[in-house]
Amino acid sequence: MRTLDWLVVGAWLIFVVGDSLRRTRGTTGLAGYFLANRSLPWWAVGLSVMATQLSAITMIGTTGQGATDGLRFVQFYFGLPLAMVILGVTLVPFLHGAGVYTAYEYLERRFDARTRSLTAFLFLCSRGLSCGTIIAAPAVVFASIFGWDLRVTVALIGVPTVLYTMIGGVQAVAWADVKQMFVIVGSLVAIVVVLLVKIPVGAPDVMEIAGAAGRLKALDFTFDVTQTYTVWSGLIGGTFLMLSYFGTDQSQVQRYLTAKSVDEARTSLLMSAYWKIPLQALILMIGVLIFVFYVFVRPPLLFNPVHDAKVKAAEPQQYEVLDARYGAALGARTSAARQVAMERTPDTRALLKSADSSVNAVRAEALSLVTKVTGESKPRDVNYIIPHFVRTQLPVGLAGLFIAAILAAAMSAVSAELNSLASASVIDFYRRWVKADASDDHYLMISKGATAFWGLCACVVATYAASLGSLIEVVNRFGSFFYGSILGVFLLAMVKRSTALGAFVGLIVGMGTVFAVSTWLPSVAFLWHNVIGAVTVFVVGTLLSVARPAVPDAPAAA
Amino acid sequence: MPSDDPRARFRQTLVRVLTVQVVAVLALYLLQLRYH
Repeated sequence: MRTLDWLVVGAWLIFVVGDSLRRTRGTTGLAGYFLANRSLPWWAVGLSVMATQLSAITMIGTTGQGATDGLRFVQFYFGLPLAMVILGVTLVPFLHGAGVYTAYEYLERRFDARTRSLTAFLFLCSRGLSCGTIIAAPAVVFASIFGWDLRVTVALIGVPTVLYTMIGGVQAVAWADVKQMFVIVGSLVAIVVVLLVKIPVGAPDVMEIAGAAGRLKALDFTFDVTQTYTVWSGLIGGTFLMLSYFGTDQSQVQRYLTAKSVDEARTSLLMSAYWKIPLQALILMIGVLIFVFYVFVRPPLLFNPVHDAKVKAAEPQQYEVLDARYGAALGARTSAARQVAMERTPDTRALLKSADSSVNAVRAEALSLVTKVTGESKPRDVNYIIPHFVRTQLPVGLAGLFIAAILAAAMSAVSAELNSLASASVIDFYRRWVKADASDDHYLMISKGATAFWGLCACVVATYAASLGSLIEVVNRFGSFFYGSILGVFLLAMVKRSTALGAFVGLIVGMGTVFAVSTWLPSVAFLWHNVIGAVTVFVVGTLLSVARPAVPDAPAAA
Repeated sequence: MPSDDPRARFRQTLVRVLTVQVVAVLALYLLQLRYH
């Protein structure tokens, strides 16, 4: 990274904060702060929806996954287009038409206060911590590759994000997201061009080499619930997951509640329906191209420079032996790739596949050594592949642009989370249970305070993410128990006969069922948990509603 | 032409989105078939 790169990063941060705040001038009141007075055009909302979902983990982790595992991960998103269409005719008109601030507020109108409070509480618990992990992932990577203190990298992402989110509210978040999506897509396209120029063989050979090494296998049609990524888990489990995420998670619901009308809200979601799979395929394809690039250029044994230095210092002899074996395996892989480029036969392809396996075997040994030396059970070296490439291969200016894009991805995801955490805290708890009749200015002040509070929490969690590792895993696991179940409650809300009791008991039983499945059937892939949770809540809730119908003065159907 | 009837509009959208998705999956399948 050179001075020009840092100038690009600095200019980007100043521009995104300054311009987002400029656009929020005149935003007054709680409706302006949390709903942008329902004034945003569909394309801005659509880009904001996409930016919220695309975090720095996508930029760093998914490209690394493409390099090591190929295109398989794209199947995860197969349910998204269908989910968007279903939401467009079900929850979007319900939520937008209800004139609510939060998705959970709607549940009180339809059922009762306890269902609203429980779902909002579950959201706050899981998103409060996940917000910290969204900052932590790129902060840890930046700290390692630039040799900075983790607190500095957390502040670099956290401070500007909290600043514009707290002052400008959802309007600042949405307009920042629009700019961030342009930077992200622009940098992805630029990196593809650079890779194609730098790889010493032509595009047809690149595809042959990637294919022979198994990196172009995108689809797995086997119906196996223990496999995480298959066409069926993506289509069925993925549809339920995306319905839960886009239909019931306040961080996404709040995006389309800012749209001018129900039609504009629907159209904004369709933008993701059309573009998410191609965008995800592009990100994974960058990983595949980086793999091919490192077939011809020697990659380091460990991409994480901190781990590399630690292992070298603690186990110098073992490191040297591994490095020598790695060099030999890489040499064999390069010559096998050249043979594939010259002569495309089953034999040359098999040779490349076997040479790639040898390289991976040495890397696996090196990662075991990292675990032994550092005590980290999952070293996640894959997250350092693209940062290493950016730092060592991209031309001056472009490296800065890519770092700015990673920052943009982190900031867009975090700002949406902070804004939605603040809205759920203030609307679903403070205004509902603490102070119901205060002025708009009072709620606005409390909302800004809540945004700052959650921003501080996120930065603290991010700073201590390494030591909080197991706690975060527990919370994430806990989150997966109720994600599908909350969808089940919203589905019940659309059935006229369903009652508050059915929804509340159904939610508890749904979460318990997912907990039981994940405990006693741990091999069932997590995408299926959402299906199990949603279906259980819906069935239990419906049966209970039929068995004990609502008395006439109970809350009426929406 | 977008229809005024919400059901017809939904059908149109569904067909359009599913067509795009089928084309995307088919392209990935052909890529896999050709190079894997």
